[in-house]
Amino acid sequence: MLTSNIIKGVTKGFPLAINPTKIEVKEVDFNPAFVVKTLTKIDYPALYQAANDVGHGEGLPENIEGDVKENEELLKSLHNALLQVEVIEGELVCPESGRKFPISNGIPNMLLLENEIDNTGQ
Amino acid sequence: MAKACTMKRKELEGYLQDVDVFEKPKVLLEQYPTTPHIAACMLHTISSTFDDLSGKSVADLGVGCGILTIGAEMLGASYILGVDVDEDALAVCANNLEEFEMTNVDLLNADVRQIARCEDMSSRLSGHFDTVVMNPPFGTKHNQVVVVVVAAAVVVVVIVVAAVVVVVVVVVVVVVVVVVVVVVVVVVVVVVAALVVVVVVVVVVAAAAVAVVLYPILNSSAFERNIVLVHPLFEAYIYAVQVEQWQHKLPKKNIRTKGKKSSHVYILKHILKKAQTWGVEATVLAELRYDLANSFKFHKKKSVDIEVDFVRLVHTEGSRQRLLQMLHS
Repeated sequence: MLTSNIIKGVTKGFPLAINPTKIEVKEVDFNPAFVVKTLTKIDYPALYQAANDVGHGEGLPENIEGDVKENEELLKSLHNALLQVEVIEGELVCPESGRKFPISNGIPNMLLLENEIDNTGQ
Repeated sequence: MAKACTMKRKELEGYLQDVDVFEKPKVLLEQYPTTPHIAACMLHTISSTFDDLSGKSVADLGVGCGILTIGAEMLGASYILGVDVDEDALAVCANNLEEFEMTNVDLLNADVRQIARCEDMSSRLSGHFDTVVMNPPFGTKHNQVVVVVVAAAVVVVVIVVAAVVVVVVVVVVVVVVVVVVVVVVVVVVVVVAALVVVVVVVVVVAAAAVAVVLYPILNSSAFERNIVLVHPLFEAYIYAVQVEQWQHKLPKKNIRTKGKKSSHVYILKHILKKAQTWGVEATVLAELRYDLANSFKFHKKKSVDIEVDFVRLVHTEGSRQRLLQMLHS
């Protein structure tokens, strides 16, 4: 999920939409310090949208306000969305071009075709 | 993961022995697996000397089969993103991750060069990772050396074959001399010689053509690769330059001279020069040596069979901005 968020940042200013066909929720050790730190690095609205795209947005507010560190419940929701929810099969869709990037076996394929490279170079 | 952080290098190396490697390495992608020994040495130093792994968000560019990623996770990295252009390698990597039951690793099938070139991507990614580890394909000189050697070998081999033919023909001719007029012999020899010359010329031209054609193909992305090496996405940037694994392809006597002197020294120099241009702080941590385990004073230690340069790159003030400008201007 964290990757999706990073990839989201990858397209032209618009987060990619996620069309999941298979989702797994895996148990990952909760590390509040990591979540707090990660939160400073990611584009939260993109994460919010991604989590809702895959139907795991519960507990996530639209905006993060106040001191997150003290709010364990929120941290756990974030932890869940960031690290536990995994899109195994599906696709990422660029809202601008409609270009679809397949996700298979949990690995998004963001390879561009020859004729697409120039566009991204700009 | 507190326990893992104190893991000894030997112990780490032991675990990393179980990481599966490429089934069919792709030469064009320079897929030589990082050995457990090198990976363990690298990661242990990164972790114990610089504390750049424990609790950090790490990217492994050119993750391949995932040995650096798996080792980094064992040493306490909180999150790792492994990027590779080759989906076959990623499949092996995914299997390895499953074997090691690692859940905080994501894999992404993408071309790092494309990510680097895209302004929006790179500026958004900037600052996402604390540490980057990589043992990337170095492009430039490796392939060039190999091509030259291959071309030369073809020429040599074929010339030898041609010479044998000449000898055989000459022997036959000696017998024929008794019966046939000398002039005919001369004609035959001339014809054979001409044939040999033609063959040699053709072979040399072909070899040259192979070199000329292959050279740009193999080198086309070298420059970009080197740009990627110190991409502004990253806080601390660490990687290994690895030479010993492709050297076995060269004739033995070249290992000391060509391999050591020109290729890895060249690449290292190139990287350091680039780093200087970009204002990135580069430290050559080691040419990793075998007795790294006992001491970090590996510089003066006697080299065993491993020759790996291990460089740490760290952004300085303004270097990221400068790099972004250079990349996208």
